[in-house]
Amino acid sequence: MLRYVLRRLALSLITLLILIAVIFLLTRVFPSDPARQLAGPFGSQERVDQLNADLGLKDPMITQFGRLLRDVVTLDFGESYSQPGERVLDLIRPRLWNSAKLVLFALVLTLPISIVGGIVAARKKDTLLDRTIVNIGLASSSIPEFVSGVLLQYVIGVRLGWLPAVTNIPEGSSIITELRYLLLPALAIVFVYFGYIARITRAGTITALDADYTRTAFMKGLSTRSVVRKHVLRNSLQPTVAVTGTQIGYLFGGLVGLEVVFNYPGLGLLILNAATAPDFPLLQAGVITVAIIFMLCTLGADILIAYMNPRARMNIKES
Amino acid sequence: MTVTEPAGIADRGDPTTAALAVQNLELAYEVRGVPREVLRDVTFQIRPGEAFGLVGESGCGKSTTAYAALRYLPDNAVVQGGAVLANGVDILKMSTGELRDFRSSQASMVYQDPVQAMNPALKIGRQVAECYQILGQSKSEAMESAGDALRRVKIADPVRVLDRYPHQLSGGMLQRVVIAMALSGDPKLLVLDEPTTGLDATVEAEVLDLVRDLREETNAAILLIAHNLGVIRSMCDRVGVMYAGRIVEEGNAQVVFDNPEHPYTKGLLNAIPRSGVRKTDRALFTIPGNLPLIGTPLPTCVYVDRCPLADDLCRTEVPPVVPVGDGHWSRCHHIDRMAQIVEPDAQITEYDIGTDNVIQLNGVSKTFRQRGHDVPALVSVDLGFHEGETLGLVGESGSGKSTLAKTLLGIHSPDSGGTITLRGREMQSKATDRIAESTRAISMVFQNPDSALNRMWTVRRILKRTLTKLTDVQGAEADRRVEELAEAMRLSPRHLDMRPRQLSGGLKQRVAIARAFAGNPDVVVCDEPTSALDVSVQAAILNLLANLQNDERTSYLFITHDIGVVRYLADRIAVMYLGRIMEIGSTDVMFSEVNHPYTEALLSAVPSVDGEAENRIPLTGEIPSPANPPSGCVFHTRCHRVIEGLCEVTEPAMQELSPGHRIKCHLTVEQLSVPVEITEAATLATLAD
Amino acid sequence: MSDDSDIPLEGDPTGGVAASEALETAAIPQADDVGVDASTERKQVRKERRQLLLRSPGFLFGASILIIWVLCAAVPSWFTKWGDNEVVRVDGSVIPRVGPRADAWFGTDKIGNDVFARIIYGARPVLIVAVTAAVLAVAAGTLLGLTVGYFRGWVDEIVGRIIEALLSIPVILLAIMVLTTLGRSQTVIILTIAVLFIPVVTRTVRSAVLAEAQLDYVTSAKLRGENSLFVMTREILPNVTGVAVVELTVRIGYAIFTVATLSFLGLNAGDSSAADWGRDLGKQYDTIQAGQWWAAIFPALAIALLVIGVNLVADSLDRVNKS
Repeated sequence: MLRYVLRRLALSLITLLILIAVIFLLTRVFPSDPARQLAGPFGSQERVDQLNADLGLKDPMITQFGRLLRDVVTLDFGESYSQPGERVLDLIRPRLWNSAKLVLFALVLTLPISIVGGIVAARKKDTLLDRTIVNIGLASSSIPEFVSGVLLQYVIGVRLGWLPAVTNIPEGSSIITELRYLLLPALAIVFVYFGYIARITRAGTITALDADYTRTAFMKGLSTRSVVRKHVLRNSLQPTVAVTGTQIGYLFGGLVGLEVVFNYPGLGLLILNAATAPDFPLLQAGVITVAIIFMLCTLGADILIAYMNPRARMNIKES
Repeated sequence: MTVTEPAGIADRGDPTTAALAVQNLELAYEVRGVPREVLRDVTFQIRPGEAFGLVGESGCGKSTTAYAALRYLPDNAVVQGGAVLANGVDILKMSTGELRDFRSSQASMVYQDPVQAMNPALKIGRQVAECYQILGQSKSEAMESAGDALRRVKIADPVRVLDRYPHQLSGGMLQRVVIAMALSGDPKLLVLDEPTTGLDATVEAEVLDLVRDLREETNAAILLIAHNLGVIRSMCDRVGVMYAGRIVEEGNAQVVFDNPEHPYTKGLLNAIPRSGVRKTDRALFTIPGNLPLIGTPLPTCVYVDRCPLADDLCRTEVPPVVPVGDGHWSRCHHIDRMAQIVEPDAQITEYDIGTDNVIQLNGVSKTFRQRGHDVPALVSVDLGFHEGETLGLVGESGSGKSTLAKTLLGIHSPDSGGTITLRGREMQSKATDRIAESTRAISMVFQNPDSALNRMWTVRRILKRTLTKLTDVQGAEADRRVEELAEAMRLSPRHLDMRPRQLSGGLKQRVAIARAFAGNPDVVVCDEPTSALDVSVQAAILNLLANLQNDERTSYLFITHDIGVVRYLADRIAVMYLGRIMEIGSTDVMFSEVNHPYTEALLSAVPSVDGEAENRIPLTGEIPSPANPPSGCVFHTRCHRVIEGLCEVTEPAMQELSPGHRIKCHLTVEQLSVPVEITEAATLATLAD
Repeated sequence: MSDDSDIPLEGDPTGGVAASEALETAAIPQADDVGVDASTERKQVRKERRQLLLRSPGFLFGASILIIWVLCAAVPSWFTKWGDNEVVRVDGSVIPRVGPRADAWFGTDKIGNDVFARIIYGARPVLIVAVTAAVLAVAAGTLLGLTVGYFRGWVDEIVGRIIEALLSIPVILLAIMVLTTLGRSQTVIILTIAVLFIPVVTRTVRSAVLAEAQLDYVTSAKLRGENSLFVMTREILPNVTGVAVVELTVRIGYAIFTVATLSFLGLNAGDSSAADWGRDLGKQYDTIQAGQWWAAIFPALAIALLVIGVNLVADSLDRVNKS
């Protein structure tokens, strides 16, 4: 098991390295003259030269890439361009925490209902209940999260006035208040992910229910409840775990639209602002943070799957 | 339309005291709201302690019957009538709780695929112990019982096996575990659904021996489902022959197999190559047509469309159950005309094999690299075969048969040093490097036609492309040749414009054979070409292969695990073990002279339809890993004639016992002729490592 | 989880081996003695598939939605008398911010444009960008997946790692990075989305190709001396087109999703006054707080409806493909 984890970790690091190269390519190689962009169209040539010298932008690309790698290892991305004097890491830290709060809250809401929904749909396969769950899931997960965000904001926040329509959480609020503010955006996430996770769970459960080992369990004389609990779930939830791992990773940075709608200071909004500024250190650091979180989530999911299924420890490549 | 039950069935005794009494069971599967009949008036009884077999080709309803006996039916199954009594209680009327008790302590099942039957995520111990926990034992008691259960199925090291996951055990070992679980509640009825299909013959024999021993020990009634008639004959007291959801003949197993009284039973038995029959003796009997699709209305005799005896009576009236002996009956109008069904005549009167070697392999080895280890899959193989000859290649799975074939074909390139020559000219090792002539000269028929034929291509395109690619024939001439080729395979012209999935298994294999013959090859490699087919279809394919060979003087390298098939078709047989050829000789000699101890064990493992009782020689342990082959003679770890101090040290050379008959063994003919004594320890199943 | 008692006769809520036996035999049309010729057989199969689709309410619903949107994109003037940039005037005066009423079904926005007209005109840009991007992505991804899946080896390893790396960042973030550096003409947006979708398409097609390449018909083609190009394009490709078509519909859905998000964030192509659902939503959603919901909610519903339509069709195609 330990060997599996180490090998899996090594693979993640290689992937991360490639990713850093891609990000570097997008932020340093493609924009031919970042200093000019920074100085603006009316900035003087002296200003541009000064920036180039200060930021090492005229150094060979390989040196710049090495510097970026060093930044990642030391977790120190230097100062922000757009907010001079601010350390990049200090700008990211609170945003990361905000994103984490929203994502975790949304997961706590989504996972139980979608897993139960998926299992129920599988057990009642081809009934009206199953169709309903599957189709609601398909429809709700089709809607972009900022669209459902706007709809929820209007109906629940404005029309009904049950919940705050914007998440400008007052300083020093209690957890309950904070969750009240977070509930609307979290519900928008539930909308998207309920269908997704329920459908994956349903498919996994149907496969496991049809498996020969499930038949063996029934033939032993076990009750349906024991069969599902002891034999089916352990196998059927593996795809759910894998997908959840991936999606948590995406949620950390992918909610740009939703953060705009609710004016919520998460990682996505930070990255959007860094990209439009442009603030390259902040942009690189933000995107790399998202990537590292993604790696950790999928790593966690894979380890959990390896724990659930001894065979998964053998074929690391497919995971 | 049901017939009043005549004495033949009724005199089996009081159904309420039977271990299992299936009575007039009618069952259908509902597909899109339409019920399709799968079981038609199925009636049989198994007395306590009795073993009853159900045989028939795939789709005849035998598995459905087996699962109905434990009321494990799919959602769309509809019982339209009848009862399933176990000790007088109708299990179709049980409550869910009663059914659970019935399954945990009265009846249990052993399945076809033991690997799939075990939960991959749980250790063996937990899965076996669970059976005892259901019976009320505590966790620790149950684990204790699980160990005893594994000992009971002759697993040498239960403690270690309990601690493993299913994927760490071989199929044979897992089947023992499944049997151990089945016996946990001391069941009065044990249902075995194709328990040895997919296992090697040697492992199959071990599992069957085990079931036989356990049956004596427990006195459980057995319902055995198998398509292999030999297995049924060697295991069962009585047998029922099923066709299209109906039992058409029932009786004492030996009597039914020796004197079948239904045209279907007789056809089935004649289709199997047995009693040492060879291709030079006669063609195999084939049954024309196909099994009717499920749900086809069969108002009179279910076999009428394929029966050689069928007449107007058969088309208008349901055949009655006709008693033909003690507890033996048949559903046929024309039992008096059974003698009219005769075995076909010899098809190949003269059979001549050339003397030149078409293909010659010299010192061919193949080593795979796996996780930094060398795994020798072929070790210095010398082999040649003549024009028009069939060389049979047998051995357990993992013996290197397929690697040998793929190396010959150029799919694998052999290690340097070995040579493969075609008519005296050395060939490039990789298929893609070979000259056109070599590519044309060797072709292949694969095991599974579904995989071997591109499902998006029509039959015509498949054949034409191969023909034009391999030969100079082009254009309209090629179209004509394709039609000729199809005709030679007894495919009709309309089949040419179909895609593979529109064809039955037998037709698909004919297309695959047509493709193999399109380039007029010198050598055709046949890799288990009939193992996925039913026996009646297999017979037609074997006849076709024999005829083609006779006409075209093609050589075959014929890989099979079926000793009956290889004996029928092969002129010479080579036996492989761990990548080495252990014995080679002409078919006649192989079955009359002494053999290599490995061959001896292989041959003794085959259950015979003819009931010749053979002294079975068990192979100890599992086949060693090719990555780590035993020292000296690679077979010494499992050999029943091992000479201590010699075999584990020195690898024997090939010795010639008689002209053309060679074995790789230290023993002399005299030593090999001494009968072997089987020790109790030899029957235990041990872990591989 | 429900109790056992709700299951009537059969003890188990699952199809056992017996069922597969039944289905297997039922599924094989044994052509031996059936007197139908091949072309009618094939038509039969196609007809059955079509019927399966036409009998599925999900497909019918999804397809109707799509047809309506495609019509809107093709000939918007059929549906509305207003142009997308035309300011609605009643009796000569502009009427901004009026709620839905008889002469402006969906109301008017801040500037006074008819919301209904902007919805109708907004179908065209999103469909053009999303469909073109998805087609490009699926074409390139299929080609790449076919190549690496067939040849395997170190190229496959490297491509696999790069795909893995690109898939570890949400598409929207990468799109933001690319569009802020390269500018945002319609061409750039299409190409960006296409490139960003290539990895996932490649992965899907590659795994389908891997499964095909294991089959013996591929071995058989190699043994008769076919070159790699032939094996890939003639033998394998026809067998993975089903997968690619389903992937195309799914990608169109995601592309709409992505285009709408980008527009919403202000990263849209074209002049900022042209009708664009995402952009309109982005510009107008602040009016929601003031109770003027129509200018934002209708574009939101339009996006949702279109993606739902595409996904319903994708899902039905996938199911028919698998059956």
